[in-house]
Amino acid sequence: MRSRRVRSLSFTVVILLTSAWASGWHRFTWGARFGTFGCALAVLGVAFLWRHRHMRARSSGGAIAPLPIVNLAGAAIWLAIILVAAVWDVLGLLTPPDQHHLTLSAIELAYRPLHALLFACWLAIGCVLAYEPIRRKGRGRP
Amino acid sequence: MTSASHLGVALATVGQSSAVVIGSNKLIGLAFWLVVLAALGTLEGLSRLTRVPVPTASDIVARYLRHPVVRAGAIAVWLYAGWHLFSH
Repeated sequence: MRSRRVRSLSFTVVILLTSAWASGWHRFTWGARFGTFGCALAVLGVAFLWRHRHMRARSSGGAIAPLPIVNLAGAAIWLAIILVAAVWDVLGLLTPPDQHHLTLSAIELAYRPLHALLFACWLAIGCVLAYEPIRRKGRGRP
Repeated sequence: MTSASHLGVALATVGQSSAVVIGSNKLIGLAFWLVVLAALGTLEGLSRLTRVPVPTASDIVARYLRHPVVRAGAIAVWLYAGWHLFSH
C-alpha cells in the first residue's frame, strides 16, 4: 500500500515537472510534436504496465475487480461541466478575428502556467484511461 | 493640430480600444477555463476526500468506458486533443 502511494506520488511529481518543461515548447515545431507524443506514449506505457501488474496480482488471488457503482446525479454533474466547456469552446471559435479567441487552445497559448496545468491534466487523463481495467459485459458487479 | 496628427490620434485610439478588447477577452477566457478546471478538480477532491456521492473520474472511466472499443476510441480522442492543444 505504502509502495503504491510512493509510486503514485513520484509519478505525479514527474508529470508536474514534465508539464512545466513542456510549457516551453513552441507549437508547430518537431520538438513539440515529438515531446507531446513521447510523453503520451510514456504515460500510456507506464499505466498499461501498472494495470497489467494490478490485474495479475488480483487474478492470482482469485478476485475479479467489481465495477464501481456510479451515482447518476454525480455523473451528470461531470457531464454538465464537460458539456458547458465544450459548448463554450465551440462558441469561442465564433469570436471576430480582431479579438482574442475564447477557446481553450487560444487561452492556454497565451498563459504559460495554464499550458503547464493543462498538459499535466491531459497526461493524468491519459493515465486514467490506460490504467482502469477493461471489463467485458457480464463480469463483475453490475 | 494638422489632419495627419488627427489621423494619428484616431488610429492610436482604435489600436488602444482593440488592445483593451483583446486583453479583456483573454482575461474572460482565462477566468472561464480556470473555473472549469477548478470545478472538475473540486468534484474529484470531493469524491476522494468526502462521502459526497460524486464518482471519481476513474469510476466514470471504469464504468462507462469499460468496452475495449469504446476505451480505444477514448484514447484516440485523448491523443487528438493533445495534438490539437500542444503541438498543432
